[in-house]
Amino acid sequence: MRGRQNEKIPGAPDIRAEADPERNLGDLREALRIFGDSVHQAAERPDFFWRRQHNTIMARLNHPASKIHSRPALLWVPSFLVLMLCLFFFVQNGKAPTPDLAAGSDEILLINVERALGRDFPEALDPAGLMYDKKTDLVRTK
Amino acid sequence: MNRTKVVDAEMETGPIEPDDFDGIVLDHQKQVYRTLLFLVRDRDEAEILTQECFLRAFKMRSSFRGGASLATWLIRIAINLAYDHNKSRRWAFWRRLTRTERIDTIPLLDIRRSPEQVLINSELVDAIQSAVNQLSRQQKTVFLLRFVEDMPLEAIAETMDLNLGTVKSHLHRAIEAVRKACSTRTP
Repeated sequence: MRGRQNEKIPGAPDIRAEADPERNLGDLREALRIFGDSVHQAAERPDFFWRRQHNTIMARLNHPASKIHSRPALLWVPSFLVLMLCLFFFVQNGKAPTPDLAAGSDEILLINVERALGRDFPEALDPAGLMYDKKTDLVRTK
Repeated sequence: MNRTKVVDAEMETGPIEPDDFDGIVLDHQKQVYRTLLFLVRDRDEAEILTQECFLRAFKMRSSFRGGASLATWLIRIAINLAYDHNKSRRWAFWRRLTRTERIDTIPLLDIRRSPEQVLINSELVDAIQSAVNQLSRQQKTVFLLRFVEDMPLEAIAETMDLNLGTVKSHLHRAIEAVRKACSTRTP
């Protein structure tokens, strides 16, 4: 019976370890010290930071209604939203109306033919036409 | 590194006067900020919550029990703020989007040590940090108060409003998780 006192039931938590969790830290103690140091180091800030924080807190204590320190990181959020909205409307409005190809293509072709027939020169010769007109005017003035 | 012990031996007595707050902020802002930084892991948010902590303490100053340490009382407020903050999912998207200086790994620079030692320590810190990230909220807080803030278990129990046995149980589980992480790291 006495011998069974030291037997551990499989799966049962070690009550003695829980009673004194740091009893068998061993090498882990140094690792935990290093970790603690690193957290302290990460939280270190320059003196001006602490002065500014102290001043901000005291200002907010004295004037509770005022929001002294707004988050600079969030300042761009409203601008971003406005920009996104503008972009959305721009894209919506800027979409070219999809032509009804079946009905519109004949009409466009007819217009183009009519324009071509009404011209003195083919469209590709427009620059030469301009030069011809200018030369003719010069000859007339002479 | 010169680590100041968080829980001062002297026990505060009497109510807090508004005029006392100037000194209180000066004395405790670093510790409050450090606690919040550990729990929210974001410098901007820790800074804002530190301010909120002192504002809340100011508003609740009449509820301060003179028998408790002022540090314990402030840390309790800070922990509750961090819990509330982490719980609120409302701004989670914007938090992710606007996160400027999130602490994913804690830098460990020590000019007194060799580069090899610094590297080993950094890996060690990373291993512990990732193990701590997996802990439950209370285990993580107990771990922080014990091994970062050097608080005695009784003070941790008082700060977290838990009984001593529960604190020991949380600490035991946290240590085991960290031990496992450190042992798997070692070749």
